[in-house]
Amino acid sequence: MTEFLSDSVRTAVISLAHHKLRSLLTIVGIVCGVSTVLAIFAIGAGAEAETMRRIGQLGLNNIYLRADDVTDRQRARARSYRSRGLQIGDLTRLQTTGLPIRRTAASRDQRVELVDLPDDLKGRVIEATRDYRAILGLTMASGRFLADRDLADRNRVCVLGWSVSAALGAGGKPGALIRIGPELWQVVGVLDRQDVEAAETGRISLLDINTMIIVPLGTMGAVTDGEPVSELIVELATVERIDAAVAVIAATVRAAHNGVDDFSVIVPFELLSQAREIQRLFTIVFGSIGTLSLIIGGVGIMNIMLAGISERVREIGLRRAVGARPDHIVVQFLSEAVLLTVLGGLLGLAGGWALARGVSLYAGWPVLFSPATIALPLLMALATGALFGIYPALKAARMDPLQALGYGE
Amino acid sequence: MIVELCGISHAYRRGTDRVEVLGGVDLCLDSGDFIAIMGASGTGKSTLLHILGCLLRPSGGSYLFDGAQVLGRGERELAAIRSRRIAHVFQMFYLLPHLDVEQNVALPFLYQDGSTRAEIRRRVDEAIDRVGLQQRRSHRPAELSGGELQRVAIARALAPRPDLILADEPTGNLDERTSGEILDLLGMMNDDGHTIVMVTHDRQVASRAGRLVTLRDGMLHDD
Repeated sequence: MTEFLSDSVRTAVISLAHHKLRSLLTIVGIVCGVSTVLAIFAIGAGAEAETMRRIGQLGLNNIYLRADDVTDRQRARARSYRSRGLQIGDLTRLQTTGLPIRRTAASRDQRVELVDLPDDLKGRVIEATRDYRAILGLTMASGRFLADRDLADRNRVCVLGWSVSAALGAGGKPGALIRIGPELWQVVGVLDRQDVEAAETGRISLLDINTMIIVPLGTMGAVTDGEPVSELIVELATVERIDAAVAVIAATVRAAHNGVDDFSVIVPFELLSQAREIQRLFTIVFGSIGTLSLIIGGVGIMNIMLAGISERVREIGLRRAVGARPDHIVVQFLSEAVLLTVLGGLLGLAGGWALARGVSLYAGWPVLFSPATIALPLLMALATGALFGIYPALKAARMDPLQALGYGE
Repeated sequence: MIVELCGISHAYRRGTDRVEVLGGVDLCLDSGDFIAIMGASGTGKSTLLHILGCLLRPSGGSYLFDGAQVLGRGERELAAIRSRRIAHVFQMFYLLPHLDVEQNVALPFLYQDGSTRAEIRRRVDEAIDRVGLQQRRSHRPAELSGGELQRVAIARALAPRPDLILADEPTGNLDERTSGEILDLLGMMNDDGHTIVMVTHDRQVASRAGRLVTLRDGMLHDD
């Protein structure tokens, strides 16, 4: 049996090598198909991983309420309805809804001059509450995060992002004092380095935590309560029935704002579903193109196999005469078709790799090669070879041995 | 008795006509026989040989091979008989051009199980030695003369140690001197104990066999 198989492969190799140009032309379709499919999978997987990373950083259990940039007219209208924008008080109100809320946080962007920082570092000051760290999954490199007493006493303390701390050197360690605006603030902690760069993809905007300086909410600007915050974050205990929770949260906050829609609700979980849907469509469309190409390649292979069989009728007859069964003939010709597609598949993998890398370089998209993204196109090529090779192989096997040997009855 | 044909008939269709080639052939062969079948062209010599070689199912009659009925068996069983027990030598040699001499001789072993690699190698070597092509082992058919090609074909027939060797005009494509050598070789194989059926239209060639029959009007006649 092994002798027979190795003969089948050897015969296939010899016959393909005998018609080099013909074999090469035959597999062009397969090469294109596998290239496309691999590139699509790699780009798709890369985009998926990137989206997951970004959305994952937002936290899948979180719901963000962001203050909208409003026009003067809207602001006037909002005022006439006595909405004061997003408030810490909105969070307190949400606690009474009975939703499974695990934590909440609020933050407010501040534009302050940071004279201590080098010019190339765009530092950013954010006022935040105690749970801001936990809700975003941030970890401390040293020191501590903001505590309740910092907020209650309006302590002039700050927590530095990793890049800010690094840029300040010894002046950026816990205990040091840094200048924010006109005043000095004490550093109480430094955050771990975060691997995510600031990015804006559709409605997902990420802040670069590394360049942040976080101070207790209410310590900057107007001391009076009631100044609107930029963002409220609600972390739910579960993503189950998140749609209903989002509806309740939006309705509650809108009611608190006297019916004024001056905020947006951002649900990373929904963004994830949307991103996945887009990805799925992308994969279907381009996957179809690749599949079509594979089918064309398969037809080419079938064509060349049929030609090869009519050239080798005598050989088929002789093999049958010395004892080959029809299934031996099937295996022999099928292995030729499969060898062709494997060859095309391997070339296609190389082409697909180059294509994906090219797209990645040109468009800046991330690509991801995994065993699955490589194995699947190769398997598709194999299946194509088997599918389109089986008819010619069966045709060869069904030949009458005597007619094949040239004896018309 | 290795072969027992009884009342073998065969007909084929040409358009709407039914053409009867064989009309009740009886033939018995003992192990070690060397028989030549003669006849004018178109009398069905090759058809008879193909029936003997299990490449063609006759329209009627009975064929006992080594005491067992062959007719009515499935393609798998017939293929098994062809690979182990019956060998063909063709007028056109039918060697595979991309294989060398050794690989061509080893071809029947691809389709049978049970022999070890070493055993196959030994049998192939023996067969090649027997036909005197030791020096040509790794040559391709394109590098061999007509006589050498037929020797390779004979070696391929010998190697599986078949019970029956069927030769269809084995010298039909060879000059007189080479024909003589091939016939000598067939004679030697018969001396070794092989049973040989040879089809020819050449009385000179047929005279080398131990027994001569003629196919005429669809029947065999002893000369």
